[in-house]
Amino acid sequence: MAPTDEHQVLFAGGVYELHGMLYPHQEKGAPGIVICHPLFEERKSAHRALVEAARAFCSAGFSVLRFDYRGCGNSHGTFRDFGLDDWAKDIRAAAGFLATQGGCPRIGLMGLRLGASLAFSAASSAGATFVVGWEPVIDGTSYFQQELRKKLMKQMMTYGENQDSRAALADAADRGEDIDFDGYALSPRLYRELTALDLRKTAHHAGLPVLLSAVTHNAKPSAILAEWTDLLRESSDNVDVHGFRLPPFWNLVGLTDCSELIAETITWLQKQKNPSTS
Amino acid sequence: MTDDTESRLKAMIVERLFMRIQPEELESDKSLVEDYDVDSVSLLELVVGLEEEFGIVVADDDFSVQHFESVARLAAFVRSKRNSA
Repeated sequence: MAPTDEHQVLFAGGVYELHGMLYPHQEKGAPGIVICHPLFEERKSAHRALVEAARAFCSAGFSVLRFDYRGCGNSHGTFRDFGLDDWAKDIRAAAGFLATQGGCPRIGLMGLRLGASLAFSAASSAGATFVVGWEPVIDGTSYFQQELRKKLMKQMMTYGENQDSRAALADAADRGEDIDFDGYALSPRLYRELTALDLRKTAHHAGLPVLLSAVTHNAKPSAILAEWTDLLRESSDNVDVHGFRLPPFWNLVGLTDCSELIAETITWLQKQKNPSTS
Repeated sequence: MTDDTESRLKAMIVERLFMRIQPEELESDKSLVEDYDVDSVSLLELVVGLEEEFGIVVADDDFSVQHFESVARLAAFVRSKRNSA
């Protein structure tokens, strides 16, 4: 399955030049989807799955843009200079670019892990008409703690036991020091923004159609995703949750078959093409 | 000796790590890392599973390779945590 004309694009994200891959659909006026990548090592591990998703979405009738946030991938800037607020602005810039260059009258956002968190945070200001989140990070503090555990586990595998503690690493961050975060320098600013992230308190979707895809070992949403879903449903009856039994492909080196996840997402996306008839 | 903790652990490991074997095929004394290709990411999945399914808290100083060496070692670790809780 090859889209007709995928190609690299550059567009402005503030003063930075952002790099993207555009998958334009042939049909004029096709709706658009901005794919929001996760961050850190998850970005690399998820790359292939998101490329396959972009191509499949395009073949299903959407114009699609994948892009690198400022300081990430091929985009300009240095990673440690930025934070979540900057990357949410980049999503808005990407949506604007896709609307203009892709001729898309309506734009939706689709994100994985922290990319999903950013998508939900940026949805209203980006003018999105729907949002898809694959296993979104809902609580930044829990995410931070789990990432530090990953670091300790790697140390254990290398040295037989861990060399740090999460408390010591968090103390260093609280003192304003950079800490090594999965090979990335986590700045004090990004640490503050990450640990303040809580979609249960901040993400407003303004009644937009929302698809949440739980990717777990038993296809059941985690407790926190279920809790957030309930919160979203208090203000909207347009929140769907799908569960998939898949390994955490954003953490793995090898390839994972995400075809079912992608196909189910497309089935949901098709309903968003003509929302008045669904 | 296979006890209930070991059986539950084997079922959890096979399910959470998407192993293509039956739980009872997982040998208690074999190395999870050497014989079953369990890596650091998988071990973290196991830690989360231990906490969710056995109700224990795995502290940072529990991250010692001896606890995660085999199903038998892991079961001993779980029992010691539950006894000390």
